[in-house]
Amino acid sequence: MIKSIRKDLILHKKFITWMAILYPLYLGFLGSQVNNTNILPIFSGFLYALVPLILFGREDKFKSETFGLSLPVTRREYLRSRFIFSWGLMLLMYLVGSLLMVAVPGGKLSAATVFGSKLVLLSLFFIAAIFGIMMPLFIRLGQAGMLVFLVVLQILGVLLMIFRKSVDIDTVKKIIRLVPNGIAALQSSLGPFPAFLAGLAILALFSYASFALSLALFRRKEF
Amino acid sequence: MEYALDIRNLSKAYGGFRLNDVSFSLPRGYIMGLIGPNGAGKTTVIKLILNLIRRDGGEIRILGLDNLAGEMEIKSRLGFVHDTPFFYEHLTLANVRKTVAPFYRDWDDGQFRHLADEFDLPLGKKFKALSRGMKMKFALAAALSHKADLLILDEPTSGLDPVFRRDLLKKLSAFIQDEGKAVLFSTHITSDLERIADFITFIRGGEIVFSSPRDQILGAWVVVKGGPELLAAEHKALFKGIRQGAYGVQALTAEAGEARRRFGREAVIEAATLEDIMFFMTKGNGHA
Repeated sequence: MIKSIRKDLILHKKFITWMAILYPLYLGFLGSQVNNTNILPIFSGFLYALVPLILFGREDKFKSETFGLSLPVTRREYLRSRFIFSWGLMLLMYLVGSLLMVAVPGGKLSAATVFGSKLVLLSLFFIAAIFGIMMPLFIRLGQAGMLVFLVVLQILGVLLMIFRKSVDIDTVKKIIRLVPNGIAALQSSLGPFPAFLAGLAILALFSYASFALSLALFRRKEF
Repeated sequence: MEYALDIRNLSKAYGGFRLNDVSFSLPRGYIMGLIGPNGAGKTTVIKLILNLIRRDGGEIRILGLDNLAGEMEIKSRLGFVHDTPFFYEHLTLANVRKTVAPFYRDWDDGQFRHLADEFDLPLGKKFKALSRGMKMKFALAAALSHKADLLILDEPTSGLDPVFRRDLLKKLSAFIQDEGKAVLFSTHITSDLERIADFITFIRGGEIVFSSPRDQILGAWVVVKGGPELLAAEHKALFKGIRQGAYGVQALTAEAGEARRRFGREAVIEAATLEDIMFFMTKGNGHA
């Protein structure tokens, strides 16, 4: 697995360097200017989850997976290394982005808020959710899978706007607030640290489910 | 006999194409040529061997192991060259080597550098800047640098100049001097196979037409050149393909002795080349 991760690092060195600088810089600055802790995790989730998929999309473009899978590596190992590589990259960007949010002079969020268990869990939730949904789509449809996900989200948004009078907006708000409310409920019933661990465990399970689905699709993929 | 590659009843259907009940074996210490017209299924067979596509049925054993169950072990003992050399286009050759080498436990960097030198590979150049021939040379250098026991080469000589092609054929002949090793070599350039292949497997329309020792094929198959009498109904079963042109009739048969007995001095009988066999078997039922 280390061989595959090393391969990806060599393969995308320049791209990773640029993305790992630009995205956290952008989010770090953005985060220092807003104090809405609900929007920020969604936004960072989208941006960070997109980076590894853009990287793998480049391999899709060069058709180099045919070569990669001819090397002594099983599909499970190949995919597992991609998940680990992606999580490593996303977490690194998230960490740098969060540090920048705090470090930018005049920032509106305190270190305690940025690194508080609620915002951390919420951010990780959106990273895991967006990456976890997009990865199987990407495996099945290539770069088009990312577009499918984004287009479906936009269509849902447009539909919501069109039918906003006939849709109970309170229900929609409840759905959107399900995650922060869930985290809050977990914290009040278990206490902050056990709730944090439980949240991480749920995210790990979700990510494993995404990996299992991706692997099932990847095993069927033909090159 | 111990086989480097043993394929039994392999089948695969996709996109209107069907590979049907394909079986052949390659013993250790030999080179097998895989020939057939475009779209015959050669690349499909190679992709199935490498587990790049899923088989519908049958069995593939490589170096005594099932190609799915023993995938890691097999691939570390297997050198490959794809018909289109898909590597990481934006990397330099030196960096492609860096990504490939760690995957092989027996990677021999000295051998790679020796081959890179011999093939005049510019290691500092990006892969995408190379000609097809140079890309093929790089793929060959990589395939020959990790002490592989089986080489699977899909059209390795296309894009190569005749001088390098001959050098490569010599290399492949030297490779199998160690009798534990073997080469499966798919190509359209059948003259290459006449030089070095020990076995020829001919695939057409997803089915094996024959898989036999080269000398047996070249000894038994002849082209009969004569007049319209070759078209007589009683000879129809003898011929595998017939071409009728303005200057007479040419027909291919796998029964050289029978052809000589029937036509004697009435026709010219010449040993068939692999190209003749491919041509007549593919196009040999109409007018030239």
